[in-house]
Amino acid sequence: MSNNLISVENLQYSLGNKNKFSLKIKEFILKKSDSFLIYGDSGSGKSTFLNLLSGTLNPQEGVVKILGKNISESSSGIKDKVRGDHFGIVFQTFNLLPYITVKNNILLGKAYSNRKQLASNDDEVKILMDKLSLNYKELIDRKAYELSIGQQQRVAVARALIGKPEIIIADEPTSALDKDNQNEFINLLFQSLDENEQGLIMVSHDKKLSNKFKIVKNITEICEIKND
Amino acid sequence: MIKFTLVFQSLLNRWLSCLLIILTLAFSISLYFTVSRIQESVKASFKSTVSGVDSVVAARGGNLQILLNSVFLIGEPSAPIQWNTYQDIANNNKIKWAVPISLGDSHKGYRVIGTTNNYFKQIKYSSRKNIEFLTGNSFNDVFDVVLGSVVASKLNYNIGEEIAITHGLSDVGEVHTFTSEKNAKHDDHDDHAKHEEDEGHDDHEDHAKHEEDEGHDDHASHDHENLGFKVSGILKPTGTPIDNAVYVSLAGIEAMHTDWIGNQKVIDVSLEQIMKKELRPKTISAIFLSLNNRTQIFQFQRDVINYKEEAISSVMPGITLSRLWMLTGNVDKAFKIITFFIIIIALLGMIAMTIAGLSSRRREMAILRSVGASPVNIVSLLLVESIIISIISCILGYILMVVIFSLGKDYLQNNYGIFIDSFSIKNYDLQIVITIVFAALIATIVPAIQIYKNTVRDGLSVKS
Repeated sequence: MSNNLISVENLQYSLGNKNKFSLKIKEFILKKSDSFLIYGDSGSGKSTFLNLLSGTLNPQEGVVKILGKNISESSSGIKDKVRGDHFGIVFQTFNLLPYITVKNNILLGKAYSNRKQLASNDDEVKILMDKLSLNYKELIDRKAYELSIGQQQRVAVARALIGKPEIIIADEPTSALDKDNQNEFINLLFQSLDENEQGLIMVSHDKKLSNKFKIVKNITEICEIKND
Repeated sequence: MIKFTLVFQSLLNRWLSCLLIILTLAFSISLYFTVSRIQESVKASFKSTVSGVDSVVAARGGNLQILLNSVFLIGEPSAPIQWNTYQDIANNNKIKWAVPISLGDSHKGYRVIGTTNNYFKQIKYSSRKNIEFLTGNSFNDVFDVVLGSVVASKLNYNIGEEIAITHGLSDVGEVHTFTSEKNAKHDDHDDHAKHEEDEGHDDHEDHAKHEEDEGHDDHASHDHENLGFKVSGILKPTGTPIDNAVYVSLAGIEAMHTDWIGNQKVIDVSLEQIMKKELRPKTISAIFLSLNNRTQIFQFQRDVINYKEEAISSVMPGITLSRLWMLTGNVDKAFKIITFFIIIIALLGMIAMTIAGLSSRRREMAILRSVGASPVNIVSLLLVESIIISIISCILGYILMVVIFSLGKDYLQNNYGIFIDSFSIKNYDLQIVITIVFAALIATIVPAIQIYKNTVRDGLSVKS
């Protein structure tokens, strides 16, 4: 098997009936232990790009391979399974279900994946929380809404990392944080990654945080986007 | 495991709206349970009460009223018929047996039936079961009383105990009793007058006359403390209005109505002697009878209609009951339809709540999608929520029904002779529970489609 975690070829996606929005990707490859920072203005198609990679949007043409497996022709059920098994995803804000505990929010990360459940043991929650500087004893049984935004984002990372998925996707995870917290968050994120295995794609509207990333690209370098 | 926690916590998170929906559903379900049980018990108790009686003869009137009054002890007694009429009917050659009954008095809210010992021999309940004595015997004396099982247990009476019979149908009880007469003479008198107005009892005239003859003051000066009726027998439970009645011999009724009880000597007089003398009743309320040959029922009815001495009618319990069912059948249906509509309204409320919650839960759905939940997984979470809500509602509805019946049981039993076993689980309970869970699932289809579309469209993009 190659080192490619994600490979995209000749992908074409358009939204709506009159091709008002269309996105083309000639080639995109995420290799093991790659870290991408993809930046672009809001509305530039970053979210569509991530949805196409993670299989929640279906391209009209082209091939998307996850760990060598072509999922572009697969049913949405299989795509959901692939996403559950191999992806860890962090959103901008409000990543957590506010009414369940920190522990359950983290465990939710592997609730829909047999692979992740097999790959992780009971200690993993604590290990991840330690890595992310979250006080296990103090926070584990708190409801998510009791946490600060910074803590919530780190819990979201723990949820994304549990079960050691190969691909980590972060959609502007720092946008709600102040500058100090942004740097700390990025540091902790990289510190927690298993750098030999996991590949990271982070999209952001600015490239200030780029120093840690191996590859930094504007979204327009990857995708050809038409928005009439 | 975590998925269940998720559903429960999600419901708990929206506890107020969930609670309201559960309460609406539970109330409507308990209404359904209550209505079906009452309907069932009414039918069962009516059916089992009439057995072996081919005809009830009473003063001419509505068949239904005669039946309800004489057999089920519901409503005001109809006009009395003459004792001679009873004798004529009893002597009719088509008659196998005839049992006279006299109604219109009560004891602590329980109806008093004046009758003969034949009542216990001839009257049957629920497909020809004999009335049996738990303890004691039928009447040996004018003042002997036989109690239905409910009366005995509710009032905690035993054999040999002396009780007072209320003259007239007083729900309060003990208003016009022989033992309390001395203490509450004034009230007593008013009440008596009221009864006469209300009921227009013919024999009250006799009563009043008697009082004039004897002199009321004189009468009241007697010591009545030890007088009254004595429990001679207690019947086994039958689950019919039989359990709710107090049985007194016709002579006893007559003694009470003519105030003969004021005379201590009466107690020593034997039943036979009294029947020969003044204590023979002048009027009775109805006659239960059975024919030698049931095919002669229409000829017998003609005899009754053509009876010259007074206007009487013969009611066939079976036919009258089936007419009653036809009459109440529509009411039954209407009730059930109304309760069904109430349940549907509650379910609509549940849909409204779910849909209202959806938009604020889109973020939740995106998070679940991100960890690999398929739209089907998300829809199934919603369905599990509905199942939980509907099952909790059913359980709560059942509990409410039990509470309603344990509070209202005595009232229904004493006033309507309806016996309800509130704790029993009937097979239609399960049907209704399954129906409601299914209906809840079907009701969830609308928000489920909505949420499915949302999750597919939103993907991982969090919209709120």
